[in-house]
Amino acid sequence: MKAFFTAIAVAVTLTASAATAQNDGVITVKVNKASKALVEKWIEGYKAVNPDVQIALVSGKNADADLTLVNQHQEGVNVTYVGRYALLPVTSTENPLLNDIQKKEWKSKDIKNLFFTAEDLDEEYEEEVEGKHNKLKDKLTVYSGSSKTSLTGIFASHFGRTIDDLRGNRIAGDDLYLLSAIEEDKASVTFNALSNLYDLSSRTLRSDLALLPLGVKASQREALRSGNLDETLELIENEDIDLIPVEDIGFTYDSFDADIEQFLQWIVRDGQQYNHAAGFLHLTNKEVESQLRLLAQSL
Amino acid sequence: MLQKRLFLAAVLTVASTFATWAQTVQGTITDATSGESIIGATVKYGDGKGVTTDIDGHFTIDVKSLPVKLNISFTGYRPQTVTVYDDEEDINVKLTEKRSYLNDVVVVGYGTQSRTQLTGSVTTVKADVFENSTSSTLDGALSGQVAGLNVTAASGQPGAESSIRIRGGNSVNASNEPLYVVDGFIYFKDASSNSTGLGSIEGSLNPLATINPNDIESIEVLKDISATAIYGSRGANGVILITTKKGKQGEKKASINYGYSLGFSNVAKKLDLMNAAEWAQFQKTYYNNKGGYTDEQIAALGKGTNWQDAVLRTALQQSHELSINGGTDKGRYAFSANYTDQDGIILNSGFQRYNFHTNAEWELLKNLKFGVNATYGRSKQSGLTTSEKQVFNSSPFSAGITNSFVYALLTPPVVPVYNADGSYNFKNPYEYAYFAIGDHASNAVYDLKESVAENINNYLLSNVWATYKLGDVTLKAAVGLNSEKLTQNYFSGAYTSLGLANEGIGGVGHRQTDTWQQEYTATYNKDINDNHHIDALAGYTKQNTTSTYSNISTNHFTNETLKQYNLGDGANIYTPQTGISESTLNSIIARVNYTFLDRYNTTATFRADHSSRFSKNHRWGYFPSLGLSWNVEKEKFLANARHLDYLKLRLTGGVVGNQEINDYAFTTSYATGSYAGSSSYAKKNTANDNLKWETTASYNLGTDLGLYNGRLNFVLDLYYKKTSDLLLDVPMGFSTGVTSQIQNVGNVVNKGIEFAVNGTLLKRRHLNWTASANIAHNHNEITDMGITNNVIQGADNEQILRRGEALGSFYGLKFLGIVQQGEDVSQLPTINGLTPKAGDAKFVDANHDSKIDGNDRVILGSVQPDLTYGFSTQLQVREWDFSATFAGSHGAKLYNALGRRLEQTGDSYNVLSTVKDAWTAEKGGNSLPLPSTSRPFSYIDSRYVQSASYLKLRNLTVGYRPRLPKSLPLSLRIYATATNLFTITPYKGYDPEVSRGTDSGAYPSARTFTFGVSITL
Repeated sequence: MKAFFTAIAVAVTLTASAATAQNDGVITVKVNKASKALVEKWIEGYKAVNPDVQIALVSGKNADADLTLVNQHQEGVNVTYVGRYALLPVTSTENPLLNDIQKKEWKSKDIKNLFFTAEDLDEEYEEEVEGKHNKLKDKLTVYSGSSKTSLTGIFASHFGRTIDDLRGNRIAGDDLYLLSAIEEDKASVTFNALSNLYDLSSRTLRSDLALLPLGVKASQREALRSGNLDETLELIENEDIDLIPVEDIGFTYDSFDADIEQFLQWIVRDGQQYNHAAGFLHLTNKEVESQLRLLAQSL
Repeated sequence: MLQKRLFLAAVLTVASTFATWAQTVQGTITDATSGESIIGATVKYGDGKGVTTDIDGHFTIDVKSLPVKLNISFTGYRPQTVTVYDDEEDINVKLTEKRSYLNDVVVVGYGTQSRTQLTGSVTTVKADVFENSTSSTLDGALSGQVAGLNVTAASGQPGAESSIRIRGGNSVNASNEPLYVVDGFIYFKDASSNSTGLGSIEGSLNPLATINPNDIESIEVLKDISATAIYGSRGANGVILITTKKGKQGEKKASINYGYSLGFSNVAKKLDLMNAAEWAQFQKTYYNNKGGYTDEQIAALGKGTNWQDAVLRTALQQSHELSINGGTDKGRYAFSANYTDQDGIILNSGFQRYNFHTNAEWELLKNLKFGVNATYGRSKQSGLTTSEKQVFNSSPFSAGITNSFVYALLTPPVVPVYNADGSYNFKNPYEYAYFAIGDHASNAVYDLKESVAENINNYLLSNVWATYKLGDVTLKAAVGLNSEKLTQNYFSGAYTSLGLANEGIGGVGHRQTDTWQQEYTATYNKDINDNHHIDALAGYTKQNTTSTYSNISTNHFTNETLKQYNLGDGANIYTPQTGISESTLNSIIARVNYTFLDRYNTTATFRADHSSRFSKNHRWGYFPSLGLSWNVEKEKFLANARHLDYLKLRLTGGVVGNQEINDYAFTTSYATGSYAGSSSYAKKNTANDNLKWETTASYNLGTDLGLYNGRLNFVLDLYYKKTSDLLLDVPMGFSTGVTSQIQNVGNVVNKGIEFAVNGTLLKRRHLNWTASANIAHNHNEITDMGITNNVIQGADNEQILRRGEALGSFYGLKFLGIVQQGEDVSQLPTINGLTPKAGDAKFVDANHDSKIDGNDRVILGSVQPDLTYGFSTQLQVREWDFSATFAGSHGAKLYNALGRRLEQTGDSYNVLSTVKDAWTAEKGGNSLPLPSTSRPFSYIDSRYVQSASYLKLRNLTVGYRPRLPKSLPLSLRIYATATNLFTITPYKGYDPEVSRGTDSGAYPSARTFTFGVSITL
């Protein structure tokens, strides 16, 4: 019995010292699954030029960290924006209604009609979509996320709606699981960030997914149809496409020191080169300037 | 060895348990709109397993592995499926209420009910109606909003009461006003509680002045028996349930709203009276030219004094509103403060109110909630003095002159308001009848400015409640006190009309009314599988009311500086009056709602009331009802009806009662007075051992139809109501010692049809246009009067209660025109024994006896409208909003006593310009006879029973919500509202809306323009 308590005491001591060590010269960064690959690339890149710095990723619902990655604009907290992402509506290639979906050019009102409850819809549109389009809507289940880190709210607000207006079923867990949901329930649609939709190695759209053809200009449509991640990123960065929700990601922090400032400055200035690789968009030049200026003022 | 094996077995058991339930999934279910926890939501998972959420909306389940699909449902909400892939976060599911009309939750007596399950006829009026209205009381905003609800303002006096009738009036002498229930607690004021017995004050405070319309979240109007039966003896006239705004549990950020409005009012219509030159010429032509004017002097008089303008004014009004509401994890709160200051359009009249309202509730323990509702305020109404209903030997206000406003209209325009030195003019050589003593005549402007006629009400409406949830049963106890202290101040100085004969008269009166209510209820709410829903209620309620009053008046003042605050200066003291009345009402209530397959609904209600107002053997009244409804749209045969949202058929029947008569009407009572310097007693009432409830049996057949995804909704109702054992004030023989007695005599039938429609006409992203309309027809008829048929009523004997006619029927001669020059008068019936001559009025000889007298009087219509209707529309275009509300009535009649008085010619008073068209030998004329100082009859005739049909634009509002920078954490709305912008009516008086059916010079209605701002943080 004595040995048992001794073992526990040792374990507690080791855990406590490990936790203490984490706060001592180590920048801890909390990320979600979707952005983990990007943050890892930033850490790797930053360590390459600052080999002495220690940066550790943490995760889990109760984890505390120096920097926490957020996927939308924040009010009333310290935040530095470090990149952008885009959302696209998607379905499974095995969706039995895929032909019907792909025959159509999905404009804003079509997406609203498909994804959201009908109560707030434009009456003219209701008349217009009477018939086959509504039948398509009736047969398709919408999947959306319900977790705090889900991009569902970004998608809904882009189309002037709220999360509560979304039709269909919800998932609890990372947004990556939305793609699992539409794999299981084939006659369904969802949306997701490019980083989840594309194979980051082959730089192509995942073979089990099909994008909803958006009602955009012909040249833009070609880039989206290509299934090539880099062409898609370039398109969204260079052209303002009303149908594609684009939002910033950033790091929030409670306290701020020189190490954190340098790391964030590096991401904003130099780390952007890694964004595409992870399926994220660069900050705009204007955003880079404003974020660097804010960082300089913060310290 | 054995120990090792046992240890290994234990480890394996534990391990296998953990292997079986590898994951714990937990989460919270909340309302997407309010953020409040949803208690009792069902979370199903796996193969039919399920849990329900606890009082915090929380659930925990153990599952073998992830992902797991959760099916979450709760009545009235859209079900939601959530697939859980990881447990890194707690699951927070927000359920959205089904927004269709039938899934609204409706407030009903002692609870709430899904509209799907409703069997009764219930109309909901939402807060925006009251927010758009600038009316200081809610009745002003209700007009035209609900089919079958007819609001008639008693007068245009700010803060004055209205008459509200739901599906016509049932009763003759008992109250016809609906029952009000505020946040679940009954609020009913007896007519007597609005008076201290002082008299001499025209108008009385609106009982609804205690409720600030901006505090109202919604109003439910319960019209048919299934909905009102739970109020038993109080439900016969319909029930209006008022729900005040509440905070939202969990909404920690308080919502703060401040509103300010400023407006001005003018009289909506003026009467066309003779000006000075016209009147002087008229006097010279027909009377004795008391002023001695020559034609040149008459021409020079011009318009003279416009006394109507002199007593009317542009009145200002302003209002401040502050409301704060919010919540915590375990409670919610709302607080509001209101200050309203509204000047009346007649000099020295107006209405002021301070009102503080709060409600709050807390979850004290799991399953135990506690709440408080309280309203405290003070209303002050400054009105006009009157001698109506008062009998003074020297009464100046008689002969149809009811108050100083009417006297202003009658004052000859050749008489100035002020003397050349700016002092009041008290000389009026034309006045010799009632309003002058010696050479001292009254002056209406002075009367209005210097007289005091105030109603001041300090009120506290309060209750505390607690609920405890015990499984499917919820126990509730509530105790409340409504306490009102009414003060009436009255003073008419020695130079005023009422004070002339007495060298000043004044008085003060007080009435304290305390009503204690207790309610103890148990409700049982249960879904039995998916097919059966039961919602049952049983309870006991008790109400005790004590009302005490006192008043004292004196006259003959030597110093009027302090007016009614120095009554001791009055040399003569009227007999002081004090009194007390007490009443109790004990009730047992029960109701069962049962829904089968979400399609077939039944509501059975029973209430037993024991009222102290009836004779000992008749104090218990029993009021049962049954309601059935069928949600037809859920039947298979309508499954393919694409545009049908809902179709409901409703059928209800039952009995309710009316106990709203004065206390002690069943027993003999005596009134004190003074006689020859000593006290005296006079018999006031004689006992009636058979006095019992007035009962109304009621039947309703209705349907609700919704089409095009809630875009178009219809409601149609047919009803039949028979009120029996009318509480009627029956004239008594001389031997009884009293003039009348309340007895249960006769029947009244109301039957009618109501139709309402509302729809969304346009719905664009930045444009929303909605409209609603309603129309109702009610036929009212006295079907039995016992042996008391043909009871004539009214100051001018203008109304009659007669079998086969409607309540409020007018009774008089039928005017035929004017006898013209050369007309063969030999065939005309005689009037007062004389053959009419040219220039005399002609009337129909109804009984063909060749003479005109009281027996030729016929029914000339009634106060009951054939149709009442309303129309309202709201348009929102980007930041702008527009709304308009129309209300109308068709077919009702109104006795224009003021018009009759103002067309009565003589040498004392001014008259309407229409008198210029009176018959003359030269130009003829067929509306008014040759001017004369006398009337052939005191009976009214059909000229003055005029159509009270009208269409009014009650409210027109334009609002704008500017887009503010995001750095400003507030929203702003500025608006402008016009009230009573126009009235289309054939009525010849000020306003066709006069609640008692007789317009004897009611305070005229105003047209008001209001500008306001509302800021929300």
